[in-house]
Amino acid sequence: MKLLYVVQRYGPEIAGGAEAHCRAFARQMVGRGHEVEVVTSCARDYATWANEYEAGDELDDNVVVHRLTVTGERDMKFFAPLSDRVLSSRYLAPWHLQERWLDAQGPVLGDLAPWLDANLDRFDVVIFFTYLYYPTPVGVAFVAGRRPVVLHPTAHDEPPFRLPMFRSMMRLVDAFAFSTPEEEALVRSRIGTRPMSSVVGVGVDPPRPEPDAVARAAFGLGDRPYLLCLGRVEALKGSLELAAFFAAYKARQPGPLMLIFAGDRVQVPEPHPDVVLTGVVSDEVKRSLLAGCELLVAPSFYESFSMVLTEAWVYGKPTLVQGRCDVLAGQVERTGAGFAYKGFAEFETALELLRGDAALRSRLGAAGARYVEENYTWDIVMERYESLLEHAASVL
Amino acid sequence: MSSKHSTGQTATGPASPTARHLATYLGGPLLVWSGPFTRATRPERVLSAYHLLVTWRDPSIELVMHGPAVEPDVVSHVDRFAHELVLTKAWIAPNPDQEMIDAFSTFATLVVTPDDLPDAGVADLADALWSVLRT
Repeated sequence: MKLLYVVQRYGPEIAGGAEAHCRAFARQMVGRGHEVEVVTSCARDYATWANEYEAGDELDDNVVVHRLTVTGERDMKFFAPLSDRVLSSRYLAPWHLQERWLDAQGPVLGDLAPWLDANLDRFDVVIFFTYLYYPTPVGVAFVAGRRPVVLHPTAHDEPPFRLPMFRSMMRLVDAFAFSTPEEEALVRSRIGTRPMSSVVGVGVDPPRPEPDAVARAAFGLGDRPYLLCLGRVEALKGSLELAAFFAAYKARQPGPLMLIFAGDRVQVPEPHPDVVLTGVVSDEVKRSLLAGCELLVAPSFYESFSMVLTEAWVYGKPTLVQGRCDVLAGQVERTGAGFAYKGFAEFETALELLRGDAALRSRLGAAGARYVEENYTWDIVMERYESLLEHAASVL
Repeated sequence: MSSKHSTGQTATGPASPTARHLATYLGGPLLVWSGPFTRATRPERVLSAYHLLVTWRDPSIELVMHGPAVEPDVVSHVDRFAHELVLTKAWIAPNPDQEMIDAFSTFATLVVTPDDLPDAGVADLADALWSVLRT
């Protein structure tokens, strides 16, 4: 098949979940003999969408990437006030105001529709990643009816998801590739129909263990035990709550245990002598951190699929996850590879249980590894995915 | 139209609840429309122009519309219109007492009355208001 992916950012340096997810699928499809192209922006930073990559065509791991100039970066003066009006009001924002908010959020790609118009006929299926950003609503509206449209919504229940603008856009989609059953249920309940879809998931690469000494030396951890939290450090990701829970836990249970946050520091929690913020780490250091951790904590309130959970399970690590996020709680319930917590009491109890029983940690980690092996190797995921795309390609 | 620059001080003293409210929460230029709420004064036109200003020019502008509710259904109409446009910084204040009027006047960046406004389309009216508010 000839496939076109449309995504807001693209590149090996982009750490964002949906973008990494898109690049992984694009490269996997090339590896399976498909012709894959990507149309994306020149932006690297999702907070500004500043043009950092050069506009034009390039080759990334046999994927042809077309970069379009961002003609409207995030309008910081208007984005927050418009978000207040459009997302936080008791009243439904009129359509033109929703569109104004979408433009202010960015990245506006003024050349997207002309580019699609000139190139669309070359592709069997056009695949959009993430429902939220400008290229998807604008691109789907342009492509629908001309070529089969597949959407990976990467949706979770957040205020923008409730905007009628997105519901209308999703009704134009021919097929959905969902990451979890929870995401599928959420989207179906919102659009009120049952279009073609598949819970595809996201594949995981086989483990490439790195000695934990690499990370221990890099961050001065000595031989102390530690909990690991991977991903952006910010309130919406639950990092600040986790830091507060950990500080309360240490006040009640003194000892050598540490908490390591490895990821972009968007917000910084209260300083604590046993908490380390590493910032963004290399893949090698991440694997070393995973190898050495007692367990992985995933505290985020909003996820459509947690790739860090599957990564931890590949390494045989048990997981402790935010119970207020249906997706995380669902992932852990299906694997039996850890516990979900809601609030400090459950966090403390689960942590005590896990810390006090090495055999239990080992059993839970093994359950996670087994689940990934049976459900989330790339071969298994891509079989589901190719079947969905073949069905979608036949709709027009 | 009369434009003025707010000093942040209240003419009505520390006991004025409206002045205290504005001193605490006012976050940008304050446009004040003062006139009777009637069909003839067309207050909804000012609201539309204000919508253009906060959506496209300066999201920090705030609006107060006050005056006697001569035609109460016009007040309801304006109030509903403000909700439909999600104008969260528009304060529709029919039949204000003197304390409120004094506070609005004190904190206003620009005060307009129905007689001040040009008989123009909404976009032109917004441009006229913006030409004063931007300074």
